[in-house]
Amino acid sequence: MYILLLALKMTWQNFAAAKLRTFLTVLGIIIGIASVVVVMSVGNSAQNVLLDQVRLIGSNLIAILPGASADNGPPAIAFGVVSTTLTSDDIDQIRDKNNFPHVLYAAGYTSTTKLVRYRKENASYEIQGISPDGINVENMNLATGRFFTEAENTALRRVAVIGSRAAGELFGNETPEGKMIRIGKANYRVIGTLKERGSSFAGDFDETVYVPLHTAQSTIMGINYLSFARIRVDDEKNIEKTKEDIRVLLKSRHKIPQSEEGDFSVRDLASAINILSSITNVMKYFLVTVASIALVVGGIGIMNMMLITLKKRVREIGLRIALGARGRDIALQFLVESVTISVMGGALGSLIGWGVAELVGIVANSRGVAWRVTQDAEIFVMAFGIAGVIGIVFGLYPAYKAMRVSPMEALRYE
Amino acid sequence: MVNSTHEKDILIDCKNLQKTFYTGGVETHALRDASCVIRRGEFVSIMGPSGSGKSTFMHLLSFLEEPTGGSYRFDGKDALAFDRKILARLRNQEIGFIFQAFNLLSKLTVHDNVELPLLYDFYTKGFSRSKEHKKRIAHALESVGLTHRAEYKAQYLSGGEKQRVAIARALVNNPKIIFADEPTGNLDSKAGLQVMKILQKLSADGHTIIMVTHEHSTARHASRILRLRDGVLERDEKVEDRLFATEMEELK
Repeated sequence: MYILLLALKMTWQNFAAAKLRTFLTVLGIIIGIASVVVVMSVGNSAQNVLLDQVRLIGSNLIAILPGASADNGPPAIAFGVVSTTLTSDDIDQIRDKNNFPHVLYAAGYTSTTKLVRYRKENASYEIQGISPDGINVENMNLATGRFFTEAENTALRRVAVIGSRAAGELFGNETPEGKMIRIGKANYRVIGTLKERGSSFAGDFDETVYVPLHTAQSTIMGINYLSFARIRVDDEKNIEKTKEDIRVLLKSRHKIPQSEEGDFSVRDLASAINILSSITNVMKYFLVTVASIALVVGGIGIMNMMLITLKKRVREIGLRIALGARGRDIALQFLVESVTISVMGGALGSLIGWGVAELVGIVANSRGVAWRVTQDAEIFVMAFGIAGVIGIVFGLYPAYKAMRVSPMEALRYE
Repeated sequence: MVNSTHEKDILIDCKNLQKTFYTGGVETHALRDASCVIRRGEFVSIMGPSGSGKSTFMHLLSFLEEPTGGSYRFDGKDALAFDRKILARLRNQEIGFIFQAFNLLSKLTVHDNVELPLLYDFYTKGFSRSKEHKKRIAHALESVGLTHRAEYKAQYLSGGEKQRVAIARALVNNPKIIFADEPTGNLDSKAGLQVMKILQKLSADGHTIIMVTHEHSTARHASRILRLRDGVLERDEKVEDRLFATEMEELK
């Protein structure tokens, strides 16, 4: 303890004697640590933003896409293949509690884009035909009014529930409920509005107009198949089993032998989240590796400074040894100096990195991205750890050289 | 030369000490043959022209270098068997060095310079350690008459004062022996004389001192002179006409 205090005291004296050189050396570490902290912090935030969007939809969801495709690959529609085999009758079967005990809700979807008009206001919106169960599958919340019923769906009633921003744009301060809007060539009665949900890579929920599935299929699009279906199960752990049951059911309904590939694909969000996380993790650690190069350069700076210090102080070190300093006292002195430099750099670098990460968050928010700055304590613990390790690793060689100085150096007459 | 000496009075006993340097395949015999016995309390000068091996001899005696031949017993123990740990302890506890170039740390105060060996005193234990250290620093400064300069930075002192600080530093651990390497070499005659006066006083107080010098007048302040020539200890003589430094006398 006493030796450590002594080393710290001497470190302070030596830094005071070479302020500029010390500052420049610390600067190298500051830049390195700041880069790592920024990359880690911004990377984590970006990852969370992405995952937040996925979670907004829910992790106990299963999606059925028409057309065959690899489970983790792009859907068939991405290749221009329009498959017409998935129908709402398929979904009704899945809703059967006897065959699918874990399914809570199941909804079919079909969507298009149409001009929507209310009096003089008109704009293009996404029109989504959706089963009445859709409000529960999607976790949508009503702001006013109600969602449409199964009876309205079956009867092809022309009713609509509109997203929060679409409601604001079309109606301004007016109450939308009960008002008639024109979608394409027909009039629809607005029966409810939704609370704000935000946007995601899957589309802008707040600018969507929802109508009953069958109404949309027959009145707006003139089709009888689904764009996709979504199913919410009671628990994430039942996803795999339910997926398998769906595959068996759909193959038999579509008259495809069980041994063959289906004309649909069944996916779930939990695995999507995993795939997304692993991709973004690879990106993040790749960037951290790049940023670490700056740290290594900083470490070399420390070694350089310590070797110069050794050269300048070789006579003093020789004297100290001649007066009874042990090799380990001198080595410790050098290690304390190099670790002090790198930890100071680590502290300032973390602070700067933290500031930059916050700044990125402010800029992102001002651009309308739902950015949440994540400052994990572990990043800072790691930054300090790395700084300490750098100080030791790059201080070892100068320390070793210093402890081998001969006391004869003290006698050398200049 | 040595007669009726009690075994425990002997501090240094070396026989046929040799030191050969090998540089680039060339052998240099810095010291060929040196044997002597030095008792406690002696004040010995090592003399000789440059290249005679006098510095090498002192380096061997003060453990700064290892001999390549011969035997050396220090304080009854085989000095050639000392490891790094023992040497660090010896340097700290039993040896004091005085250098030609003073070797003070110029940015430290006189007090802090004298304190330096005590920082590496890992051997004095107990609560009284710092109290004991304070006492020793005060005593060492008093011995060289620099108590009033304690808080001065070393760099602002005159050469003579610097060497007196160095002597105080060598004294502070109460060593068994003090090695002085050309202690007056960088000083004017008046300052040199003052240093010799202090060394003689230390000798009178019972300290053992070994001093390397090439100046005859300086060497004659000791009680005994070892003369080297071409790496061989040629003569070992008692100083008959010993000089005693007073303020009046001039060195050189």
